Amino acid sequence: MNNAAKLSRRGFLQAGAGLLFTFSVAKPGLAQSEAEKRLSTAFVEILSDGTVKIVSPASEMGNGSLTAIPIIVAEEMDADWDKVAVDFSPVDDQTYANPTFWHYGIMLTAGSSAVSGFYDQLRQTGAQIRKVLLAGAADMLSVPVGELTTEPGMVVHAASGQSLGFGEVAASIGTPEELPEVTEDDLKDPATFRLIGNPDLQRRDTPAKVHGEDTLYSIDVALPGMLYATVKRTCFINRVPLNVPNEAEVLALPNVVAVTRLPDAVAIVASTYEAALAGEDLLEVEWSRAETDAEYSSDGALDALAETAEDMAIEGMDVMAMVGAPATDFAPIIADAVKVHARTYKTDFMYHAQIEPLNAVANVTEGGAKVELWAGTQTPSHLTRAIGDALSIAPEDITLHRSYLGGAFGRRAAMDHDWALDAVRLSQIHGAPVKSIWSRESDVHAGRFRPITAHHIQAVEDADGTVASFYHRVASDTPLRMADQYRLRSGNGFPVITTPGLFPSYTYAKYKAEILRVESDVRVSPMRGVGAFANVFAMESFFDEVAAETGTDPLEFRRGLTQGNERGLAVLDKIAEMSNWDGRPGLGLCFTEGRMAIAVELDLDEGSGAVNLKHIWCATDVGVVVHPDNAENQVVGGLIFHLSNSLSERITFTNGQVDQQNFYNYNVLKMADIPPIDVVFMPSTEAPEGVGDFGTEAVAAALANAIYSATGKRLRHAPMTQDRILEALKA
Amino acid sequence: MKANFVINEQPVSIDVEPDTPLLWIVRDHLGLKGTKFGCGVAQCGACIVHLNGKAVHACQVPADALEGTNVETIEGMTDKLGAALKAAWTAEQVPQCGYCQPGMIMNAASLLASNPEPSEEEIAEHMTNICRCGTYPRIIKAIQRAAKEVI
Repeated sequence: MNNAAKLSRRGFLQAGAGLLFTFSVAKPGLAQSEAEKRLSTAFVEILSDGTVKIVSPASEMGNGSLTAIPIIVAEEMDADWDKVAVDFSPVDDQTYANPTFWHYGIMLTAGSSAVSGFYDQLRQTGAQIRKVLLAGAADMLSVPVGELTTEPGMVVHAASGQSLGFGEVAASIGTPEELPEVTEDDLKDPATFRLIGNPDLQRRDTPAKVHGEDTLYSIDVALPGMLYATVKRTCFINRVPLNVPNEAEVLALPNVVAVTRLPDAVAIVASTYEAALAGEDLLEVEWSRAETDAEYSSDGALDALAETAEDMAIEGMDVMAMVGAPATDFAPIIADAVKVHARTYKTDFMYHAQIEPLNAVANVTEGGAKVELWAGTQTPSHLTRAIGDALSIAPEDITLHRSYLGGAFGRRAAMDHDWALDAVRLSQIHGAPVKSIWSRESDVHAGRFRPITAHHIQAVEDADGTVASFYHRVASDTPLRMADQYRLRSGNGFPVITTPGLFPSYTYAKYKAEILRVESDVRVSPMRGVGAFANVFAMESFFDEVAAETGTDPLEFRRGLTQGNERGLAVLDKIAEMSNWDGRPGLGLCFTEGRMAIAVELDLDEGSGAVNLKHIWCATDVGVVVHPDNAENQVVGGLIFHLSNSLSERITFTNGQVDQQNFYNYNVLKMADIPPIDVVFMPSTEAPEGVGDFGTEAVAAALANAIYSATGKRLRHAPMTQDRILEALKA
Repeated sequence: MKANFVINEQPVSIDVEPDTPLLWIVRDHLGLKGTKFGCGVAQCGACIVHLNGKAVHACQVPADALEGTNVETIEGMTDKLGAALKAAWTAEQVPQCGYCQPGMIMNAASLLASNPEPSEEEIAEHMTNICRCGTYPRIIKAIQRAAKEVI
């Protein structure tokens, strides 16, 4: 989550304390059975047999939210976890929008926001249900409600020894007209939590994922009479297919049904997927703007970004001013400085590489008036909106079956959902159900990359040798410009994907961060870690460079700027203890957002530049950890994801073409590359912060700092590939 | 052509183009969806199945190489080793998105069949599948847990 959204959300909650508990209408969001009276609300349904159905609005893309979100509700209800059944919520922004993104109210799972975003709301929801059950049981037993307590799944009257199961009470009282108001006093004391923080709770989606028998992902859906399709696009946004010179040749392939032009793509439609793939291999397309696009190279574009970042005459968007903080004029500070430290850092395009290829299954009927769609998306709201816009139909004419996502990492968040619209358009055109799957080569070529960035950072050294004032200039495209215009507009143009890592998480003397927007037509989007991957790589690398130049220990340097942040200092103490921090060669550190510290230990083969990772430690304070076992899995996974980004993943463009095609030249780390990883969550009763996305991107800087510690050579361009390390060693 | 082979102990006869990869025969012609498509070029391992007892990338085996073979997919992994692996994957809470895990389990089964007590290094050397969610450390634990269970 980015700081601005966090600050704003907190501001909203504080300002609207009365609003905090207004989620009180017992909306019958779940299907009501005629035969049986039941308690049914937007998030919870209690059946007479005691089954408690809890829905999660969040997407299940590996994050575990389909378990963690119900845990929060079940905790405050005091439900019996063994009787809880979980499912996805319907698509309904009014009821299920992620509170993190309150200012534009949509269902979006991104930026580590599912558990942290819904935590307050769902604790209240659970407490409301518990209050209803207590009141109902008091009536049934004719005892004062104050004499009742709950045990998992039942209301207990200790004085008389009577008890009622939640199912019995629900069957008696049904759905109340309104849910009662609750206050802080109705919420559980975290010390009494039975489910939140329970290390033994398992994910609900694990058995099906292990047995491989059920249809979990949209790619596994099959409909009678279904056609298959693959789709070709260019690596630039909205290019138009002008001509398909070998269309006849492709059509002559066995089982190929059609070559279909879409607004910005060409599809091969076939009766089998293997035939569609064969067609894709053969297909040639002439695209609009091909000649000018051929002039694009990523090396040239990145050099231009670096020039922009370093050109102090070019003024950017002041990040602090965007959140209402006073602007800092750095020019006089630099002019008056005894000494100025300055460096430039760069990062390459990177690719999400979710293992399930982009796909959707669509069945468009009644001449385009009705759509049934199976798709795994991070934003169900945007998906139904995109279909509605494309076909000029109303949301109620669209049935979206929310599939599990075989990885997302931002790849399935872009609001246009071109990959799902492909299936919808093709189904409409061909009058049959269509499963459209982008081949891996299509997904790499027409990826939605994390954008290239260049960073110029200056630091001012005071007369006494301390360095506490920083000025960070980032030149980059704005992923939201292409991924989510709606979010960009409703956030007043605030480039929320670019800013993470730019808000000060240290106590600086003077600080300024600026974004210099440089636009191109290369398809870009948010990717796990978003802007923080590059911003923290640059800043935390620079910290170590300044620490080295001022003769300060890197850990002490960070401690010096963390005074007053007791939770942060405790995290730094913990990482020092875990890594046995002693300045030994090959040990590198970073600290991000004032609450996550990562240490990396490595050595290098100086002849080849190969990195041998020995250990990674991570200490983090994310407040209450709702589902500890999964949280550990998420942080370890995030560290591995970003380790892979940092060491070996790069997308490059030559003559307007992406140079990589598939996993043989887009290098994702494998099991043998991964060192032992230890993660410690600091004990806390504070509100939960995100864990899946957040913070682990900072491993890039820990790695750069470890390489410097081992070799005295500084890598300022991520990824730190073996060839770049070797080049640095020879320099 | 007709491809006649045995899959999960059931004889089948499938009418396909000779170059159709086993991956699509398994998924689309036979409807066994546990075997996953990830890359199509034998890099990611999501499509690993057993062909005559050996782990293979199903995306690389054409229909005309299937005559008379014995194919096993994740759905057919119900023997002692298969059950132990699936139980270990659950006990260690391995999956995140879960998409790569059937291929991981199939590859792990082939490892344990030839090396019942693999070291961490041997596991990592054998398991070249990609897990983009980064569950590698838990996969190592799960394989070691299953190995103990089967021995």
